[in-house]
Amino acid sequence: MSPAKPSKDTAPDDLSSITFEQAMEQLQQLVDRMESGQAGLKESLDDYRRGAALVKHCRALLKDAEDEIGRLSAGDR
Amino acid sequence: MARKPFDPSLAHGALFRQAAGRDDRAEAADAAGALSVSALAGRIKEAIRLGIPGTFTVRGELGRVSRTQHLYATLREEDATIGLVMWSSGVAKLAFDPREGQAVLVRGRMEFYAPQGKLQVIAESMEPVGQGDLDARKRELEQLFRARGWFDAARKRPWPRLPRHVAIVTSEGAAALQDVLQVHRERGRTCRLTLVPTLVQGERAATEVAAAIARANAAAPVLPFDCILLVRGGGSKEDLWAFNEAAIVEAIVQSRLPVVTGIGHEIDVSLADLAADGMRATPSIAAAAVFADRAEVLEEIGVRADDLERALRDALDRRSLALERLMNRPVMQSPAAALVPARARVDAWSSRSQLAVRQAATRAGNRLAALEARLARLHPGTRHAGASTRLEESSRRAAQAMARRLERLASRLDLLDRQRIALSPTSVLERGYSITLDASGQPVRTAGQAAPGASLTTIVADGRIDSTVTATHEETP
Repeated sequence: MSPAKPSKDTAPDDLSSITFEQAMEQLQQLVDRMESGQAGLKESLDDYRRGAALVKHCRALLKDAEDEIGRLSAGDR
Repeated sequence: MARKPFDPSLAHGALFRQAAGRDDRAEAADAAGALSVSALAGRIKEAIRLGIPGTFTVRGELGRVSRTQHLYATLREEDATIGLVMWSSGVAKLAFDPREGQAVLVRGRMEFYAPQGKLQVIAESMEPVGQGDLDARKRELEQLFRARGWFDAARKRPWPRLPRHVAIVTSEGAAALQDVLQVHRERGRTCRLTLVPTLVQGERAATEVAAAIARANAAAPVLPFDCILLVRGGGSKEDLWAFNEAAIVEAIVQSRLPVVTGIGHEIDVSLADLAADGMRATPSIAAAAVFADRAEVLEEIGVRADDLERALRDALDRRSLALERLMNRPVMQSPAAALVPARARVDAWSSRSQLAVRQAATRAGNRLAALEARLARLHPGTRHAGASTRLEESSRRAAQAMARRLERLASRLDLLDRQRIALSPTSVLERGYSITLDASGQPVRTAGQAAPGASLTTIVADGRIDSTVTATHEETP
């Protein structure tokens, strides 16, 4: 199941401001809703696409820190 | 408070002159009347001996400390500094480990060391300044800060589980910073780090650390930190004193960014710890509390991704199962079956309507008969209306009585006919029974009627069977 055509919920820039905690929380809610059987087939597929994008976003947030440490001195202000 | 350099001619002018007068007599001045350096040094020694006699106690903060077998240090206070020497015999008796920045009480005497032109305190004993005083002061401040609400649990803010960028407030090159970097590597470098360097010890430490915290907060537009990690390695109570001072504690309270502390390696909790959003016993533990562990986070994302896959699969399975159940319903299996009840309804309706038509025909026939009768009575020969009516009435009753009799007869006939059908030999034969006749064509009802050797004919549903009796057996029922 690949998110071939992104629905309105899964626009990529929509996710950029979402924190890791929020993404994990949303994922949980999507899964809960899908498990409850309340969602229609289309909603379930939309939920899944959104969920897949959230998983990708969470993984991207773990991108390696390039420099081990920078420095903020008094003069840098 | 500015102090003038030591000037014997001002501070102890009379003494100097007196001493100089005595030197004049004791030492030979050269032709120009100039003193030799050693003569001057001798005068200085004499001035000190007279001006700062014997042993005294001085209070100050240790500057740079170096130790061989002896201890060399400076003793300072704001803008005044003086050298300090403690011989090995004194060092051996020290009850603490003197360090830079420590406030101490020194008992000793003043000495001018002529070979190096050094004015220094020869320390006989040294002790850290009032340990008991510090504890009392800390309790006092704790009470004050608590009253201000600085330690309120409600003030504490969570920091992100996966911080993107963390500000480390500590001194550059400190062991604590190395500990933090070590943990950062161990947990898979899940965030960017920026050091905000500051002194963490000595009198200026409190204001410097406070400024560093403010700087990290102010850097937000360029460096959007998620939280501040304030760390410092272990040390004595005096070393860590800055972390009890109002400047640091207030800076933590006012920090927009959550602050997590890891101060010292001891159980002793500083007031900065109490005000922090999170506090851990050591720099390493604090770092581990702030930096997310890459493997752990990946594992959790994996679990969520699996949940998502499974939820979708279940949602699709539920629907295909429902579809399958529908397909298994008899109607879907044989569409013709759906027509059976409908056909039965049509049949029932059809026979009812036939009956209704028959009944309607009967009623019409009756009405016609009645009309004919009335017509006959209205014949010119029949005059009297009343008689006509009565006649008509009795005729109608007679007709009804006759109809009822006929109806009863008809239903009896119907019953009899059904009994006849049930009792008809043919129908009995069809059920498997048979009729046996003797040679004279009489039905054989008892065993005695058929003697051995007699010929019998058996009638079954579709024909006859001829047979000869071989034996008979009578049985009493």
